[in-house]
Amino acid sequence: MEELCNLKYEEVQVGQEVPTFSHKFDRMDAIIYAGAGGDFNPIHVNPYFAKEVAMLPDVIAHGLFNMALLGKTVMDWIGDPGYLRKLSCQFRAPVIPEETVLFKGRIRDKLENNLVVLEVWAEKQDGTVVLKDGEATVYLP
Amino acid sequence: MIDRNWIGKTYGPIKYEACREKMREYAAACKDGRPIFHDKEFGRNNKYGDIIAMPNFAAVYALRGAGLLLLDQEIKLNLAMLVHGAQEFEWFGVVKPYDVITETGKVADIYEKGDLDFIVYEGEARNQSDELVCRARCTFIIRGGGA
Repeated sequence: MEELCNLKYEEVQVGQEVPTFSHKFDRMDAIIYAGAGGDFNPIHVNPYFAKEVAMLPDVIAHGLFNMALLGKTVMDWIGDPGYLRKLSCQFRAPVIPEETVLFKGRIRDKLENNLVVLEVWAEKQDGTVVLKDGEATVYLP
Repeated sequence: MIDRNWIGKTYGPIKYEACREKMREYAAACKDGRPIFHDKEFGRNNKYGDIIAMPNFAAVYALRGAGLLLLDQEIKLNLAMLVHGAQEFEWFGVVKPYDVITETGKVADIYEKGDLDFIVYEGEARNQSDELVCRARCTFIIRGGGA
């Protein structure tokens, strides 16, 4: 049987960083996510509506898409998706096509029962915070 | 200010039948191609016995009641001024193909800060064995005078 998780609770340290995941947002991402996630709000898929009606610079990424990439970033690190126990964040700056977002995490605390708490967030290359005050709780064997 | 008497209003139960292809589609849309989300053989040969849904797939199966809240004709939220402010998921188990998820949700809180109104939805998703799978909490912000 293949082991999915390659980390050990004993081996990780407070302050340790999760490898950063970088993604350049493309307008097709939002169209594909709308279909997969079921959110067809026109601010994500219709440039005319986004600009002329919602007064945004262009279509914007779904908040839940950005949050899923944040979850992926943590899962890439722990390996076993079933060990992600909790994920939360605030949605702040909108992301428009061609902008690159960096998804980051760092261990804040090691709890009892093999639980590890991370601060997680997402920011643009200029430092604008996209996902703020995020927290992830993971189980490590 | 949104009428605080709506706190406690319930939505559901809402059933969601998890489908292998929809689970794969969601993971692919979230740029996650790892085999445990896509490859049936790989899934069969690890502890889950099948592919599992990406945890954030809870956005699909655990927030349907939030969609009903947004369109609730009694509360009448001002959608033009509404943004999804924050989201929290807590998972207690994985979702596999053929699972039948039942979500029940409620308005958990209503409050204001400055000229922003906040309304919080909490959903709870259980599978066909009545095991808790996920709790979801989402905070919507309405700019400039709520309902």
